[in-house]
Amino acid sequence: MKRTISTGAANFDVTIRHQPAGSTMKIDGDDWREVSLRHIDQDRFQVSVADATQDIRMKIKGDDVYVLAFGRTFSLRVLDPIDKALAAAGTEDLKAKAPMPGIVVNVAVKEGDAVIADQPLMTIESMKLLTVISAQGSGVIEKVHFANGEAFNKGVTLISITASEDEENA
Amino acid sequence: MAIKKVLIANRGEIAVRIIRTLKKMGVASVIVYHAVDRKSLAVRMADEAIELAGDPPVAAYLDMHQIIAACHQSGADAVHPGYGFLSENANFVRRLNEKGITFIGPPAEVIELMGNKVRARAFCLENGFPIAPSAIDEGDDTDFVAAARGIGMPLLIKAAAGGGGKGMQIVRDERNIQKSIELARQEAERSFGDRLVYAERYIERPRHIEVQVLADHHGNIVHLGERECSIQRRFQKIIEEAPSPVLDKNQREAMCKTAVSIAKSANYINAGTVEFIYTPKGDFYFLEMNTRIQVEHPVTEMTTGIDLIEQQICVAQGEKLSMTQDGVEFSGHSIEARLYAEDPENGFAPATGSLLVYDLPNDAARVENGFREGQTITSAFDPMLAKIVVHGKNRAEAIQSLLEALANSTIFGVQSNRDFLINVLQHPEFENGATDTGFITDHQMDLAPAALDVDQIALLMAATALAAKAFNDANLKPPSVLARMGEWRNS
Repeated sequence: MKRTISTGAANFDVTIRHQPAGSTMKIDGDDWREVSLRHIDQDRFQVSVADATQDIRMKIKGDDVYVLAFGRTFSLRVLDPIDKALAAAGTEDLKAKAPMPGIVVNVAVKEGDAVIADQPLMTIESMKLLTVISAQGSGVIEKVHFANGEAFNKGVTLISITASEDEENA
Repeated sequence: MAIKKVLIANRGEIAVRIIRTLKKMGVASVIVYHAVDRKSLAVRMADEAIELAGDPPVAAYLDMHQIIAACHQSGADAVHPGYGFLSENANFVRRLNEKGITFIGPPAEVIELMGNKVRARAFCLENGFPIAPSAIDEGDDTDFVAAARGIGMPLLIKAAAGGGGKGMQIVRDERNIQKSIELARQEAERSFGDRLVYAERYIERPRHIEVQVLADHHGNIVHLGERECSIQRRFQKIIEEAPSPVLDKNQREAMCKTAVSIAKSANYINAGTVEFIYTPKGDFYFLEMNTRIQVEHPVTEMTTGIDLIEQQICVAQGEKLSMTQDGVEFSGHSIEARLYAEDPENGFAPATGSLLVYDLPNDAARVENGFREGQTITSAFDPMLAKIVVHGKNRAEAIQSLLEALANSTIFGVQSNRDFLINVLQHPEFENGATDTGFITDHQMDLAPAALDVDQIALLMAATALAAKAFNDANLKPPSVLARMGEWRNS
């Protein structure tokens, strides 16, 4: 069984084979290694890869796997193959996305406005922190999705911008 | 004049803290809360709880009318405002007084004087106390911008009506003055309901050192030593300690005496903090005075053995201070780390989620916490989760204790600054006491999470792969008839 696991900072292709004698794991193009996970109690486990063993705390919720290991906190995710494909397709992104959940405090542009890179588009507020959302590139405002006073979640598209064509190629 | 029942007009860890002392003193407690806080620790601990309405939730804690009604409903004869919210609102104090309810804090006119940062600075200037060059916003934009320019770059634009790091903008380029003024005004409006700002010379590499004072209604006033709070991000403190690692005996005496003089001149009553900026040259300037109990008050309690909340209540009851300046004994070193629901790798942006696992070292440290495992963290309030406070014979011991306490803390389900705090405390410059308000920015690279080595990655991958359902589902072979139906998912 092969899946991609994300640490948030990087992705790894991991394959697991379960055999009667035990399980083996392969990461990306590396060799197969013996692996095991022993449950100690509650959320404490012992994980082994070949000769290395580590005591960890782990808790799973849906697709998120939280681990405390080496004195650090990790939030890992087994990626859904469909999400991966969409992310790989990629498109030129001139969407102004919300860096954190919050509410809109001020909208500086409207549909049809021409904007240039770094131009302030909107001011948002989250837990008393004000942030100015600026244009990532030049273009024309296609739609402002949230109005003054409206609340939004992290990652949503606040404003859609149609990128301008390069004049030399037009 | 003993107080019989205190209404806590606050939430989270400080509400829990106040209730704890009230229980110790045998005083009844009633808490007001918004529905989002219904399941919180403070609401469960209080003797009584009264729900308030508010949209957004923060409005409930700012609603004087509802809070006063709750006092009548419960028969509370005093209100403890905690910090933030209405704690420095002179109007609130007056309205309570009109109803014969005691406000546990200074009188309204003192709050008005010191709570308004512009007035406080003018007061210090008039009375010969040291302040940094500044300019006030007197309504005419052109004049203010010109005056701000006159201070020279870099400068700081700050909210006049409140502290806590809200409504502050650093300006390094003259061309950004106007934009920064507007941004600061907007934030000031949102946090304190007052757009008034002022500009001040921004001292690079300052240390933030503050002095705790306590005064009664009988003219007695003492200081309880200083705290250094230089480890900050977004102008908010995240690590505080007592005493300051940099002050020598003379400097300490000078600063603490100045703080007491300022408080005395202002006719201060109850607990308060005088904040100073300490320059690399060893000078100090009055920054502001906080006319309330502060988040970091525990480090002072740990080094003096004094319960500040208890002192606040005693003063409010009209009692004389139980200690003299000479009677205050300082011992050891105390450090506090603030755990926040935020992402240090993403500009410390506030994080939301559920506290899937929330395990704090209650046995090894003093933990001031307002949340319970399973609670949801929303963007409705300030993202502070808890404070971990330790005490040691000396600073090195205190750092060690705090590192152990954090190592024994587990927070799953919502991004937190736990790992980041550990990195700060382990940094050689922190251990040397080389702390100033630029610490986090200066050492950004060092404080970022270290890269994982291949062995660590392998262990994490193995644990995830062996535990996660997504890996194990597809190992089940579907019956052939279902296999012909195409992609098969378990959920």
